[in-house]
Amino acid sequence: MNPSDVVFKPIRRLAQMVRTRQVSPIELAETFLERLETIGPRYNALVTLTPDLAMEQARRAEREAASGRYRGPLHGIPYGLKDLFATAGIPTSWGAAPFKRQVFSYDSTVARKIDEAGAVLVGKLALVELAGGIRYKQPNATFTGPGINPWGEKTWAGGSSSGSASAVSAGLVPFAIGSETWGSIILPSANCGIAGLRPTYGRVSRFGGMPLSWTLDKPGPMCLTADDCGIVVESISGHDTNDLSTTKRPFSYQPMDRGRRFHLAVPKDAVDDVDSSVRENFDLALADLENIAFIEEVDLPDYPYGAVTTAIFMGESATIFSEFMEDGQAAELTAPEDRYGIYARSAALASDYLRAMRIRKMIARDIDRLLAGYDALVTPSRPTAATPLDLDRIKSFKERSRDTVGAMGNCIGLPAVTVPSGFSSDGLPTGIQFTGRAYDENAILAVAATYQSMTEWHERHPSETILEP
Amino acid sequence: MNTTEIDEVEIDLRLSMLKHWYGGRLTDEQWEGVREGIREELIEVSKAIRAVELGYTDEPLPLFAPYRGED
Repeated sequence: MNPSDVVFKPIRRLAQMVRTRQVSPIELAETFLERLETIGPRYNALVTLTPDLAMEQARRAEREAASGRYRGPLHGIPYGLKDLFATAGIPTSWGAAPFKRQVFSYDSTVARKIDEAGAVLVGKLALVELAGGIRYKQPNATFTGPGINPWGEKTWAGGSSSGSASAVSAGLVPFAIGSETWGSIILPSANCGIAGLRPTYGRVSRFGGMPLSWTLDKPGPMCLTADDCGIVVESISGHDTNDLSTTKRPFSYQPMDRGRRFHLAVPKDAVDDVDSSVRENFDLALADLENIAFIEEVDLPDYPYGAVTTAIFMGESATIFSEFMEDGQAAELTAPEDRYGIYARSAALASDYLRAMRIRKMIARDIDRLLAGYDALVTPSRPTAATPLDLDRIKSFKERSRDTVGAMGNCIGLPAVTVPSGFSSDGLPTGIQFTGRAYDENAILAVAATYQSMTEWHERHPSETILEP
Repeated sequence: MNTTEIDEVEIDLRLSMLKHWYGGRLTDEQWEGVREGIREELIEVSKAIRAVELGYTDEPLPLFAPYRGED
């Protein structure tokens, strides 16, 4: 097997190769272990390589395939896991120096479900320390170093799921698992030119993942295509008695929804305050989408989305991190601003938190009413392409974007998927985001997958990572 | 007092509470960072959400649910 036969191939193609015995799970595991180990450090993508577990899982997949047992499309497919999720006996650092040697005795539900689906864990991937939940101002905010973007070594991979995004983008793993509280899947996926799905809150169990905000955290897949995201989210979704927020609504991925025109909504201010290249690529994407969809401009209800989401986040994270703060461990964090940034939220008021939860219900009701007539709300994934590694992200966010749709979507737990929409004048990827009604992952994945069937942006890869056949 | 002065009073009060609890841990420069955090993450947020009109029937999401192990 030549590595170029399997690197940058979507899961659906790899699965076919495994099922027809064109490639063995052991060969796949060896190929991606080597790439992750040798190329991963270039992007600060890797925390812990997991060769022993990978080869054990790959041998199991091989044995089962030989005996005719096939677990499904993830059978024998290597993947990387954000180092936020517990894996029994393997360190789980949460990206933070004080927890470098932390080892749990159990698997997170996400890790367990992917194992049951037959996938092969090749490594735990880097993230911004404590999932970016303190107050980091710049990308150098984890003990593994800033997440470097494979599309430009002086630009940020994005956070907090930085290693998951760069590893998929550079072909170091066929797919990865990330998590989002507010932007941590969509931002790095857009920066690195891959597909990322933030599932509906409660679609995927949070058990065994570091909590950042109990009512905002959402694990999700980061892949080469929207179609791959559908395959992965089906395998990790489902009710979990260890996470009472998980839904009992079953999820079955329906790959495509061809033969009907989609209905898409675009907020009137969708391209206000975005870079010219993002705007141009978004306009071109809308022109493409007009071939398959009715598109209408809409006004979003007037709410302070960012403030509501921040109030919820501050209230919940203050108590989640209270022991960590009381112990003085924040002083060991990498980013100087994280060492004190955790303190302010201890002065958050319960009345503000509950007021935000009351407004949250109003937002959920009004947005659901708005989205009921559409398959997706369409926006640029980010107002810019990847930003420089030395840029103050707090300042840049304030100046450039209020992230209204990201705040709204995370506040009320809506699913969203980002896929690449083109490139900036600097050769960096831009993204387009489709946000849907709660539990309507199939609708947004269908739109995104159909868009990808008409475009080739996802077939381009960072030049220095491409293998010659 | 105007709005800005009220904000400063509230920031000072909250900062005093934190210094009472954790005073010796941080440098003066770091406490300035905490002050900035209180302003941006708490006070500005409070003002924005308190400006939204709510009725008595507008309950929080999610609501409390009684628990039984077998559910």
